[in-house]
Amino acid sequence: MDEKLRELVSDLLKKGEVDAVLSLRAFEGCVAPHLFTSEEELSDLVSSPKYPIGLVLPMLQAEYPKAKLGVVVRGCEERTFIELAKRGQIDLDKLVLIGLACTSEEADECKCDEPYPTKIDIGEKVEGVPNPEIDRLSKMEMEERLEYWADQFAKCIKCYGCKNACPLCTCESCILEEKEWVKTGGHIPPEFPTFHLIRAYHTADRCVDCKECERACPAHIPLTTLYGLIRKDMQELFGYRAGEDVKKKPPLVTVLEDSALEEA
Amino acid sequence: MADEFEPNILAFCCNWCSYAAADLAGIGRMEMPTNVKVIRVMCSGRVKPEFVIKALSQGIDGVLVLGCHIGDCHYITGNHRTLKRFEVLTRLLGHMGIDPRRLRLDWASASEGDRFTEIVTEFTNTIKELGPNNLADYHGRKAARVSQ
Amino acid sequence: MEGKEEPRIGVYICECGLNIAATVDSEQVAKWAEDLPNVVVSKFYKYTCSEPGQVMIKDDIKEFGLNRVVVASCSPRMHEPTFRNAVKEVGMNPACFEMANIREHCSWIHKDKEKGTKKAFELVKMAVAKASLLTPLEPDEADVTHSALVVGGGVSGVQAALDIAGRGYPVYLVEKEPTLGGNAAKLGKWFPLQQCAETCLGSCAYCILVPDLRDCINDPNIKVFTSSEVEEVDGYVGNFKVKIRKKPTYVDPKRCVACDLCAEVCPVSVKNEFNLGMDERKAIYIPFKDAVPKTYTIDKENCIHFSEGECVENPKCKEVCFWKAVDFDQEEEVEEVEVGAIVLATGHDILDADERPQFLHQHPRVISTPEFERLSCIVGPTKGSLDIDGKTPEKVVFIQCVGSREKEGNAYCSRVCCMVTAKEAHTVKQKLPDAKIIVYHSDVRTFGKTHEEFFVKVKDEGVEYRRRERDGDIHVEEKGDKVVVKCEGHPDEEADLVVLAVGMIPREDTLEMSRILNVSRSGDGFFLEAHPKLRPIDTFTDGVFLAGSCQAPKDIPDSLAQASGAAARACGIISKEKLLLGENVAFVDQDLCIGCEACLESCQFNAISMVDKDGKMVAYVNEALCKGCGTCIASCKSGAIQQRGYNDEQLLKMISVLAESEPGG
Repeated sequence: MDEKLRELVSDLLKKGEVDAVLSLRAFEGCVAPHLFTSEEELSDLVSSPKYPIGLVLPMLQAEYPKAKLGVVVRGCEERTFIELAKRGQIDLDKLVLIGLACTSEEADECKCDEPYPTKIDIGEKVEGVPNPEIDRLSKMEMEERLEYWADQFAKCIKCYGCKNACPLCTCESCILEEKEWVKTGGHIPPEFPTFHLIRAYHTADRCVDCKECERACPAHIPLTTLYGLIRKDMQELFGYRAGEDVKKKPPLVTVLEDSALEEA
Repeated sequence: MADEFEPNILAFCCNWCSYAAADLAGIGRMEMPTNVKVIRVMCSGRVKPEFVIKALSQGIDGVLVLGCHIGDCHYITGNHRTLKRFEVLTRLLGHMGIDPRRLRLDWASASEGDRFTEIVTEFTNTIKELGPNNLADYHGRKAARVSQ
Repeated sequence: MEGKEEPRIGVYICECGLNIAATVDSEQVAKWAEDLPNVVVSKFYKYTCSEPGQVMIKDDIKEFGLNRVVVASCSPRMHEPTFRNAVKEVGMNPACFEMANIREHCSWIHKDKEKGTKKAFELVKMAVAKASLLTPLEPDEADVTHSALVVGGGVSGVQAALDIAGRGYPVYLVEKEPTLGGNAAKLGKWFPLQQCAETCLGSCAYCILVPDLRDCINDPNIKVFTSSEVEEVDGYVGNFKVKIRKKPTYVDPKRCVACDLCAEVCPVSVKNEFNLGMDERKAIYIPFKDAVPKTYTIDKENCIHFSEGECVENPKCKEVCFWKAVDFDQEEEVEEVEVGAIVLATGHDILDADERPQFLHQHPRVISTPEFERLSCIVGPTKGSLDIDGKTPEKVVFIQCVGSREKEGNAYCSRVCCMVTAKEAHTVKQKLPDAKIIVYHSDVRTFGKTHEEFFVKVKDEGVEYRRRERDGDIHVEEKGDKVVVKCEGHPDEEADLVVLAVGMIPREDTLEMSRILNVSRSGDGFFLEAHPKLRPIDTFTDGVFLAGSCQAPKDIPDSLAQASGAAARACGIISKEKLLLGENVAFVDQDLCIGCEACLESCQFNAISMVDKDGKMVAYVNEALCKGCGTCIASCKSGAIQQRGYNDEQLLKMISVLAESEPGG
């Protein structure tokens, strides 16, 4: 698979369709994002493991505003880019996306219900795997759910890993680091449920289910189960799925749709 | 009845409709429970859902968010956003296991002192039924209790 | 600076006579408040708003060096301005004043004094908490452009322009058509009919309207743009930038003397819009003889010079024009003007009777009320004759509410048609005393001054009014060379002439204009006023006002009254040296802003735009457009946008102190 990807990238570079390609590079036993500009480096190019390149791309575009960049994207990464573009953080027109479909093992590991980009260049489309926890939590009684989350969030060490790994947490400063909102200093776990509820609310109109927060969490808190529940609500309430359509504005900032107005 | 639970309730009222409705209820001497305390904002659209999270997290037993009726907003569509944001927050509270009835979004026009009284009375009763907000009890919970 | 100083708070608990004291122990609340953080002095008083009460506060500010004051009394909607002014008098910044409402929100709605007193203290505690975080603010000001734009050169627009110019301010008047006057210029007579209009068989446009139009075009303060359109409006109250696109007329108005020689030689005849297509005009034409400005226009669509490259006629219009006014090379011009206020007076369209086929409008014996106006006018296409095919009508039937008050279609009442019908029936009586006249109405609404009297008079003259059910069947059928009016509940009436009282509809370009000026429209399609009762002239866009029938159907006196009102409102703005901006405006910490545009999307008033700051796009709030609702602030995840007087920190502090209180407080 990586071989085919290297050929594709090499082709793009050769034809001059892009100035450089953002993907992953295996180097001295480590894998890290890398901006490939020449043929020689391509032997190091790899497609896995998954890495939050959404964190890297806005910086690259800010650095090279005129460059046409190729980017190797998985389904969730493409969705991330769409949300980033909506919020003025990247310029989609300056990107050539190279679509990479996740394998069934990867999809299963992530419990990803859409493990492929809209256009697949590499790999085969496999069925999505629903997160069984979403269903389980939905069926719980209110008290049981509160106990569940209280236990989960008691594990939080307020390392901000979730926030730092989230490619869509684009704020310059986060209110979760301000003392008016969350006690600063050694208050661990952070005030329940302020910290996690605010974060969940903030992700409501942008979470694309990339799982980076959960991967980053040293306490293994099932954050994407909570975010997945609210993601489902956004679809039910407003027919909105983050990452689906760059033209669809986040519903929480827009006026009511006509149908909702009639109900009101 | 010294032991009867008297909830501590916060209400956000918009200057133009619901705050005026509360004033009108006063002018009309409409009696209601003493539990609700009003914070005035210019528009219900100003009320960050994060405020409600923070209030509940700090032990406030219930939060009312009151604006102008949809279509009557002094700022035309400020309350459109309020409605959408609080729909999401209500769901989110439920997912977290916090009874969403502790939050109520409603509308009262400047002429609806009676409606304001009704909302305050009803909501106070609801919160009394739900009992004290014990989220603060969870603040000190330690990871040791985690089963996995 | 005062803001950096340690807050020194004075707290004053009012008893409001017994209004508060009956259920709140003000003395106790004042005593408790003494221990709140930053409180320097805490007192209770019988009537804090009274002169001695205010003096007490002012003296304390001086004696204790207070920089924050909290008064717990009635609703801030009542006395906040009173106390703000009081503290300002002794040099304290009024933005550092805060109120707790312990009357309307406490003593008046509770009976238990113990609970009431506790709650009053909670409210005071919250107000003190907020007060400790208040910062002194100076109101911002914006410069004002001392001129106005009037869009629409009908009666309303002309009136508004004359009023504003009369107060000495420059006015730009933009009219789409080649002449001023609008719909009113096409009317045979204006009601109410009085004095000359009662006996005169002429056209009102000539003796009532035209002099006003001439005043308008001759006023040194008014610059008239005919054949022009407003293309773009930028800016905000006090400072609008307007792009006006002037279409070429191919005749230089400064040279043209309206001698008509050009029209005489013009070989092209087309339907004359001014007479609603009932006669013809040339491709080079003047809309009506006394049009203002009195100048000809070439209708490019129909002119042979433009379609063929050169006119076949000899001599050509250009050649016969002694004054060399014809200029085929004239080009479109765009002029930019700056104004402080805008009056929208774009008027209305009239329902095309063909759209209601049951009334058989296409039949030569069926006309609409506007067509009747042209026919009855002595300078109209028939020189005032109502004859059809050379025969004088013996029976004339009017049908009211065509395109108004409909079950499906236009639900509203067009408000003028009842009087128009009465006036036209009266005109028929004057012109043809022997004619039989029947009016089918569905309620007669003649509510204006002297209107009811006129209606009774018309009935007394022998005009027969027949009531029809509003939703009942009424239609017109052809019968030989005549027509028959069939109305449910009445015998069929064969008529020589049927007149349909058609309603007013929103202008076709209302939607476009609403976008250009950011003005809303109501459900019926007319422009929407800011408040149906209290602000009938304002729009939601500050500095843009409505005049005449663009807001809703109305007659000429009502239109002119609104036009003068709109002019007065506009002058209220443009006469100011500076505009005071709102006190609760939003502001952006551009270092924290990441330019996600959530605030921009949340703003109903287009007050937020994105600007480049050191290569980064960030939000910027135009304080003149911001109305201070704070909806943008709740959309900002990072708190980069805040609001004067209601910032996150202040509100959070209020929540926290309330949360700390004893249960049952």
